[in-house]
Amino acid sequence: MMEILGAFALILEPYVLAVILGAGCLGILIGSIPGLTATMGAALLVPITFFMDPVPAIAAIVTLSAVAVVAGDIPGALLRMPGTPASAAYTLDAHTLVRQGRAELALGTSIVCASLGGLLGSVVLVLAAPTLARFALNFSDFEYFWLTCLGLTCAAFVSPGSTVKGAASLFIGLLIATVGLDVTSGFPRFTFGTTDLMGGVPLIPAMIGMFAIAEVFRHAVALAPVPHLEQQAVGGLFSGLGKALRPYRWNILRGGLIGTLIGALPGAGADIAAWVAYAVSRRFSRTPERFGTGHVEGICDAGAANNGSLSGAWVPALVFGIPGDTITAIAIGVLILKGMQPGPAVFINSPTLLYAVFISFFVANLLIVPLGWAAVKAAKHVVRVPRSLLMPLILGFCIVGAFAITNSLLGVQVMLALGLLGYLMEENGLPVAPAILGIVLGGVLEQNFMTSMLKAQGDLLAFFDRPVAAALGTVTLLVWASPLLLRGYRALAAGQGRKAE
Amino acid sequence: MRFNDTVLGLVLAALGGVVVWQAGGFPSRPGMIFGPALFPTIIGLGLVGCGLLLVARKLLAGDPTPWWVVPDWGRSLYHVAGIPVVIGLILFYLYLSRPLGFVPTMFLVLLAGMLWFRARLLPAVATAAGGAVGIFVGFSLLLRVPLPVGPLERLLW
Repeated sequence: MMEILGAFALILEPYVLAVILGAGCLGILIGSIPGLTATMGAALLVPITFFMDPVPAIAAIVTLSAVAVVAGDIPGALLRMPGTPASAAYTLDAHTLVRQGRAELALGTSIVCASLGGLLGSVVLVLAAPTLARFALNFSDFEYFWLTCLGLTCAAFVSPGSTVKGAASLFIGLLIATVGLDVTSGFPRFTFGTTDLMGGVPLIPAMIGMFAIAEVFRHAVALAPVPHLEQQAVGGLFSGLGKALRPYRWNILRGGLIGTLIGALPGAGADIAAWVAYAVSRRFSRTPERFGTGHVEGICDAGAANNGSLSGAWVPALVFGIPGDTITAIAIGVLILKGMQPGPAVFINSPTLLYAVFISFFVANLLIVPLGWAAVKAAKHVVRVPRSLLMPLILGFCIVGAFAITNSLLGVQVMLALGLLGYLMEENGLPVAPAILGIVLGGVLEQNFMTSMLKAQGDLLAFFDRPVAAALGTVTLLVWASPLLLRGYRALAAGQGRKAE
Repeated sequence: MRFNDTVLGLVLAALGGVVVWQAGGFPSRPGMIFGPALFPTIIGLGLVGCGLLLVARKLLAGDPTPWWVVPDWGRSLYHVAGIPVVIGLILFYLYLSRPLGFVPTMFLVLLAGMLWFRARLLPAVATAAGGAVGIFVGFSLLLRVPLPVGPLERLLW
């Protein structure tokens, strides 16, 4: 009980509240401007959070991402250009509603469902994380090795496009993580003879590069000019909304839960959560034919799902140190910089801090409603911010941010190199998320593997000695084999079919 | 520039090959199979595997995608030059921030970027100046990041 009170005291400090509010306003800006994603916002925020205590730092990232995903709905509805990829699933429905003169309904639904979905995800997080952590306390290096393998595999498998490309992206990330002194013998690997890289590739500059600089490159070759927002007076957002949403209360619940689950899968974030929830909604709807024609039902499901996923992603991140999406990957990077390796030990050693983080989720998701309202009111001005002035400012901020993390030009060099890499990867259909997870988890994976190997004296069967490790290991191997098994099964089924004819 | 999966696969496989070859040169302690080379070797083999799979799949499918596709922006010189310009701005900062100091370097980077992206001159000059000074005040004075200090900063502070 004392811990919970202490946690409230931590959050209610004026400084922390001001940070949360500031992050929320930044979230409005990032979300409302198409082309700037919530992940990019988090990456840009890191150099500032770097100088904060853990609680305001995490609260800022949580608030920024939650608000940015909601604000992304606004240009989606008004311009048919989703502000962040998380809004893409239901942009057509929302925009059609706006064209029918029902902008209030579209935006009000987005905001309220996002808030409810996010709150639902937060409840799941608060209930699930401590239970899982208690379970995880008994884990040894063997279990962590398999768990990390499973997380990385999941990231490669759920990424859009082909699994082979997801896996290739993952290996690229793991390769980047091997740069520097090796964990067992201290031998410098792939440092190109410089001492700068001996400590490894710095995480945060790498992410600033892959998420923010890559976006500046994409802007540099973008052809389409930004369309101008038609004057659109948006009236009372929330009047009569309760009645309109009442028939869909179970949709919001279902969407929020689907989103939370998908968020907890490593590598799958808010965008995938929204697409899946939208598809599920359509599949089980009584009126599937109305989807895509300005129907609120899909917005309820998917709008709740993308914010639910943001909370869900923190479950594996806080309990196992395995990020559930790219935003938590950045957050883990921040925590590691602060000397805090997320894991079950945090639940025992610093419960107050953890409760404070939990409370910040509720604060952020409640803030969505007033900030969402403000974002709609400000949309006219925000969408008009000239990209020609904004993009160079983002570039400048990236340079300083990358520099501030390492206090040397190494950060800027890494940012440039990985920005180019990230841009080229996306251009050629290699998803970036698995690579990011590889960079974040590569060191941990190798360390667990090496410690386990030393303990087991090189006996690979020891990886299956402990029951939980055996179960995790078997699941991992099955997932690895699944593409082959599936192909074999399909070939068999086809053969049977031919015989039957 | 978008390459087809054959090119992509060959590049990945070649990268993996180089990694395995390099890792072969890492020292190993006698009697131990697992040293600094083990992990990079696994990763390298994984890259080779992914690369070859991509090539094989492309060949088996008989997919006639050309070796590379020049995207729409490839026809406009302005857009083709866009990426080198952004790289140039970052390199400009990398090499000149120390001799010139942070504020002038950042001002020039911002201004050049804004003008390249076709902003109007007056707003660009104002935003670039405000941005450079603002970032310097925020990061150097408030957050104590050791940003490079040149003659101009010494004059002002």
